[in-house]
Amino acid sequence: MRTVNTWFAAAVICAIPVLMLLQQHLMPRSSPEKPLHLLRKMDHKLVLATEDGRVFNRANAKHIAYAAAVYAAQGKHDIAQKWFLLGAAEFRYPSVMLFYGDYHFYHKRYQAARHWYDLAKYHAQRDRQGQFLRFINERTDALDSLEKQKVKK
Amino acid sequence: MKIHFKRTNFGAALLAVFLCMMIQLLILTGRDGGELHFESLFFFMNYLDGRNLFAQVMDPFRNDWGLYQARELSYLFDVLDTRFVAFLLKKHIVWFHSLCSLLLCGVMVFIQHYYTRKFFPKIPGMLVTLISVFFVLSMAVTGLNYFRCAKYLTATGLWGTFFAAYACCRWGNTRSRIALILSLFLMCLSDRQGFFFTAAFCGTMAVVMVWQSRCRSLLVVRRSRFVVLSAFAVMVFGIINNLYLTPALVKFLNGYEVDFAYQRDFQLSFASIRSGFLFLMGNGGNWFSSFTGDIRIASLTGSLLLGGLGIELYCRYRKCENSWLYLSLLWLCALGAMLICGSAMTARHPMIMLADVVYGTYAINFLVITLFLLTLTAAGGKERFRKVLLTLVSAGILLRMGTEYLGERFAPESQSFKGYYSGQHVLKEALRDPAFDETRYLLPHRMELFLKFYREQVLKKQ
Repeated sequence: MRTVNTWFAAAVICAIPVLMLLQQHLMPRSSPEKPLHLLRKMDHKLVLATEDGRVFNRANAKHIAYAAAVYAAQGKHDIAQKWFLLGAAEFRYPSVMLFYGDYHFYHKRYQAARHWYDLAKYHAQRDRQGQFLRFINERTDALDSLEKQKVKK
Repeated sequence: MKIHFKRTNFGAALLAVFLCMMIQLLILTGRDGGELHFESLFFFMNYLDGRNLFAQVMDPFRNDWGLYQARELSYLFDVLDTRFVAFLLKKHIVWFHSLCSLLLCGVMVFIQHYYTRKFFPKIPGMLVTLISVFFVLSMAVTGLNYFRCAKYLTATGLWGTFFAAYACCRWGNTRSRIALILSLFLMCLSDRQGFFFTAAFCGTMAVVMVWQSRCRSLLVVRRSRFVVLSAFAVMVFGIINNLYLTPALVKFLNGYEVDFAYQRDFQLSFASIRSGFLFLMGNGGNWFSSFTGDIRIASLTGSLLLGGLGIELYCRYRKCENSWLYLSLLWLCALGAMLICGSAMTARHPMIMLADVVYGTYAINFLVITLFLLTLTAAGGKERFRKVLLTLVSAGILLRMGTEYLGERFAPESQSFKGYYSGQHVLKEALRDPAFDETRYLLPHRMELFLKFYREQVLKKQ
């Protein structure tokens, strides 16, 4: 009887990790598509699905910046502006503000660029992100030197 | 005429629950309504969106950011918490604490106190009460934020499982068997941690059964076999529920497939084992010294305490060979299980090692296991060990009350969401005073969404 119980206990102890590994193995390998019908219904609008089926998490600064960059690169500047304004004006992400400033800077709209850099600095200062502030300062220094060059001319 | 009050375990347990609840309510009243957690803000909007209860509960995409973990039972309690918070907010009372977690703490204290006094009468009542107070005062328990109560549910299941298993092994009556099965289900279905501890409990009891089959009666062994089989059956059910039942219900009620990526895509490594060790020992150091600084110093404290306990165990019990072996087996199995759990947690979610998270509710189940084993050790041992435990627990309580009084009740301020938490006082003012104009302040956009939802959906439904 003692031997039977010992074997029984040993079988249980061996079965536990086997079952755990089996569970991992039986899990689907690929992630399913995001439920677009749910995303479109979500009242607090944290997630946005684009018409072409790409899904961006509106609460994620990286996604917003990526979406804006994609549309800007495709030449769809009006849509890119909407994404920038979503992240910069509505969600007030300092990183998107900085990126939006870079977008204006690239298109030589220096006043608009400075406006968004200043806002990014204000929000970054509230969050005390030192490294991020250095990025902003580099850009505002570049704007200052451009203005000085203009004045000299 | 003298009136004699008959002291009963039930009455003593009720008194202990009353004392612990008063302590917790006193702590909560000093927190000015608590703080709305970054994630709870979205729970509030999810759970009050007007859908039927089952659809709200079986929805990991909204309730857990798509990170499916088969813990839908805990979402049910989160819904109750949300409705209570909304009920108070309608009356402009800000109380961002979890009612379910508070009540579960009361249940846990009752189980711990009543059954410790009933099963282990050698332990003095004063020590049992101090352990109850120690438990509710620890940082792992005292958060009680309006967040998730999955860990509190698992801890309740764990307390129930331990005492029910003891009763099953000792007496094997029907009531203890039913209590065991219910506790195992509660634990397994509440959280991934609960599922893991169900499996670890099954393995530990199988090891204990081998020991018992060498030196105990066959009747005890048969009763232990029931415990092992029950835990094994619940674990298998947990796997079937995780893989098939819950995904089918989610598909039926909400129309989408769950994503197993959170459970599937992680790997254990030496780095995660090291982190798991720091997590385990660091929390041990935190419970007994209220130290909330560097995790390495806290884990050194925890390791010293555990080492001291090991030496005490060896010196005091080595003459009682059976007791020493039995307790050493249990402690080794428990430490091994907690180390694996801690390693898996840190591998899956490295954020739990952040200073403002590491000493929180993720460790509550580890605390339950530690306290139960300390209780068992105290029950089987000599008077000297009970005095050592009394000293440790008393020192832990005094240090904890000291840090609470000094206002250092939380671990270091959240660095991850500093910008978000800086707007809490404005949010609370806007919720308390309908005439308050929060647009003068630059609130995070999430808080503005929350206020808009509160005014349009919650207040209008009065």
